[in-house]
Amino acid sequence: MRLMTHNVLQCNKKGVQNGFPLIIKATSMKYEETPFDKSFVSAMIPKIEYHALLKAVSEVQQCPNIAGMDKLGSLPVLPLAMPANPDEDEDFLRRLHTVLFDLSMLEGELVCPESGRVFPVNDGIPNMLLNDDEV
Amino acid sequence: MVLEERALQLYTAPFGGQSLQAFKYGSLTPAWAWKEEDRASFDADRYYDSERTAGYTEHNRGSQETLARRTLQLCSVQTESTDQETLLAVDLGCGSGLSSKAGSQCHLAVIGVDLSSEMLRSDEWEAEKHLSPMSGERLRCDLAQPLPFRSQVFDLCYSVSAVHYLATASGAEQRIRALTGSLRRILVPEARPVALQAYLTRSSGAVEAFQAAARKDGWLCDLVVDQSHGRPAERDYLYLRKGGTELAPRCALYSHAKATCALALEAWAQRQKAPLVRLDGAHRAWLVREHDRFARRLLRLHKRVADGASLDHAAPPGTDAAALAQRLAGIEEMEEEARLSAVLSILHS
Repeated sequence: MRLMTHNVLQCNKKGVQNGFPLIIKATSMKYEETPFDKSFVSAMIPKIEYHALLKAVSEVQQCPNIAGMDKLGSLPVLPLAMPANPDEDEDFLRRLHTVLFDLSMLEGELVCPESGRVFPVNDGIPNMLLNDDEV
Repeated sequence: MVLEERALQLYTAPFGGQSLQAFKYGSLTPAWAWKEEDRASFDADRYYDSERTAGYTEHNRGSQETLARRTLQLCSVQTESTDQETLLAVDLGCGSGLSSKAGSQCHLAVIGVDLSSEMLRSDEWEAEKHLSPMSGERLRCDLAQPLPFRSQVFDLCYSVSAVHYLATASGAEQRIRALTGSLRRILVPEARPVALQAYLTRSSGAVEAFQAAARKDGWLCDLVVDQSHGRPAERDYLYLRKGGTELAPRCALYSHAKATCALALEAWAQRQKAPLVRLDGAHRAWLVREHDRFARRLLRLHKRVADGASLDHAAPPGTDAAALAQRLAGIEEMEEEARLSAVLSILHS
């Protein structure tokens, strides 16, 4: 699960009013570079909840095991607020690309911030299935 | 051959609709049709073990990719050119990823969702890893539960061979409404039309159930029938668009299903100033030829009846078909391009 996907995920369990953003508790992640594509990452900007992305990056930093991190060195630092004209800021777009697409959660849990409901992630695949009584 | 049968069917029994089918196949059910009892006990997660997953993927590779492209074309995605803008899409019932891959190839950012853990773990996902910065993204959830996404984020939603499982014998309406409710919530207001290719048992009321559920959520839902190039089997697509009240014209080729076709929908979308259907050129040309063949056959039957010859069947010509044939007779002498365009407008009236 990439951080782009995490940024649109939400807990919609019955009774939950604000199930976003899910808290990332990762035990295993990986960094894998994908080719930078300016139009692709630009198209994602209107979709992103930026504060949730910053929070996700800080949670990823707690992960004890990020395979391939030696190639990246350290996680890209994102500005505290989205730049005014992000489409024209290539340096920002490259950092955003790395954060959104090149970091994947492999093992761990996603936790609903309101209800505490845990959604396991295995082999990079979140299991968002609810029980019948949670719908 | 199949089209000729259909012309005969339209001509001899336009209102009964069953006679030719019963005549040709007796009581046999076509091989592709699922029985209701199969569906009711179907659980994608229990059914698809690793062996079935691999088998499904291999067996369906070519046809799934074709179906996925056709589905995306209805969603107004250009599948032939590389200048398609990037849109955030969700692939409902992505299975082993063949349909998600088709989306990634069109420059879309696709998130696949499926109920089957084995399908989501198929080796096939590895093969498509580098098609786009988002390719291979997927998660497990149930289409009949509220989809686990924020509101108003997706530009596009499509599905290949999946949503018929919602239309099981009992509780179908509730499941379908859950999905149409999720779609209303997760798509942006200016989203592309939704296209859901599915194997619907036409007599089961599944199409009507989708239409009713969609209408309650403010969608217009139509049934589009299309055929893959060179293959006789018809494929059903549910086409959902926000707003509007008027459906596309029915297509005479698919009158037995009360459906429209990709060509009729394409012309309709253009007139309505709706997002265009992006048929690929080869498929459009093939569809035009099929319409022409159908029209010629209808006309031949009409002339044989007019000459007093009896058809293989005793049923009298239907008034609808006779009227169509009469109009087709009126354009026989036209220059080729104008004639083809007149054929389409007559078969889609």
